[in-house]
Amino acid sequence: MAVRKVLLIVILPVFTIAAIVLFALAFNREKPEVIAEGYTVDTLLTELPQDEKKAQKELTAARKALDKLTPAKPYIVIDTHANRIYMRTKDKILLDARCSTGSGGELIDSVTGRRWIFDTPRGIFKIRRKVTEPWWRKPDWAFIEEGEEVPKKESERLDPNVMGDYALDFGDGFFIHGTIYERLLGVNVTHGCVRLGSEDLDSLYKQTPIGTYVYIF
Amino acid sequence: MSTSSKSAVSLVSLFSQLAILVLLAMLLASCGKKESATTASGTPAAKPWNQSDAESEYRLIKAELSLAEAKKPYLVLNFPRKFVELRLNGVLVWEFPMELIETDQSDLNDFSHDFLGPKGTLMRPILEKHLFASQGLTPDSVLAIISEATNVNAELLQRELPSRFQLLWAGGLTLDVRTDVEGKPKSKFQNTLADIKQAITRPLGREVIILKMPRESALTLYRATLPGLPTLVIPA
Repeated sequence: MAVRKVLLIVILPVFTIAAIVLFALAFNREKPEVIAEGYTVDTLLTELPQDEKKAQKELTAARKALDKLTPAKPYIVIDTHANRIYMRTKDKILLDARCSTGSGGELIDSVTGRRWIFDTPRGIFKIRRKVTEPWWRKPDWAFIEEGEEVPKKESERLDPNVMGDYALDFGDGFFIHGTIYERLLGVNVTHGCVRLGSEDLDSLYKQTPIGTYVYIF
Repeated sequence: MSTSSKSAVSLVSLFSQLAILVLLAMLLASCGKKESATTASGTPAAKPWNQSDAESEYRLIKAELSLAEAKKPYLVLNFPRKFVELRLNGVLVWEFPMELIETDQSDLNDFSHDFLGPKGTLMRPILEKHLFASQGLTPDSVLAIISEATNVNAELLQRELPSRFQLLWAGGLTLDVRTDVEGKPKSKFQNTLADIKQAITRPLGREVIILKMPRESALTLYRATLPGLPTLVIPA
């Protein structure tokens, strides 16, 4: 009995404390550092030369390489998460407007099995073309989505009424353009293009020369 | 004129020429000093060369250039500027000032210090993201109509405005973002667990920054920061 009592009084608390400590350590342990996919994280062992002149030259070159990345002229930024479009420089926002970007929806043609995903592309683009009074040339998916037959005549694809007054082409068939559904601005409802209200579109069109960089994230 | 008076005159003229030369030299020297103190644009000239500072700047630039190369967005915790930023290919695409709540400048310094660690690690990926509570950006009834008109699933159209979310890096470093959105808790159990974890780890030296953000900025930051997203720290 006495041995049991000793065991209970001494060993049990010791075990309990040890268990708590082990649990705390396990809970608090540092997770192994994961290197992000596609990035060289902290393997940057490039060191500056010890010679001052060489080091200065190397540092100046690095600064220039970084500065060169930011466009000298205003650039467009499209935030697909909050559905906002900006015209900005490094220090100043010149235009901030609500827009609509791709829904991410999927369409499969039950007849041919063709598949489309309506996302706004992410990355770096340039304005290639500026169009006034643009007409929409309906792609096949526009008919398939409506359950209509894809027309054979090119003229049956053209619609002059949906893209607003202007369109800015940023490549691969994607445009920043107007909309007749201004009440839906701010919602991800497009097939990948970027829709803008007429006043903001007018302002953006006037401020944007061909060659302007477009950053979409 | 006597020879002595002639020599006196020539001496005087020599001295006056010398004085003019000295004055000119002093003027030139003072101009030179001014030029070396400011650059052409009127900004102060570069500090004297410091190899250690140069090495730190060089490492930072090289780190950013390596991130820029991927042409994907990355997060920047810019402590000297006190901004949270998103950059793409080295270009600033989104930013928001670090409006601190329940934490102060010393927490920023400690966070920056712990992020760098003993090896001076400038980049770490986000390990975890935890959404405490959120609210739909567009009312469900409105989305149902839009969904029918656009043939897109209403769930795809919805954007969750976060009430509160956390981004976590290695070593328990945490960025806690709060908004004025009164959202529904995602999982009360998970939320309690996250809070307990923070309460236990913080006194053990795990750094937490708590920021207040308007709902739309928080929406962007929440959606743009997935686990694995590289984060660059510009040290305090």
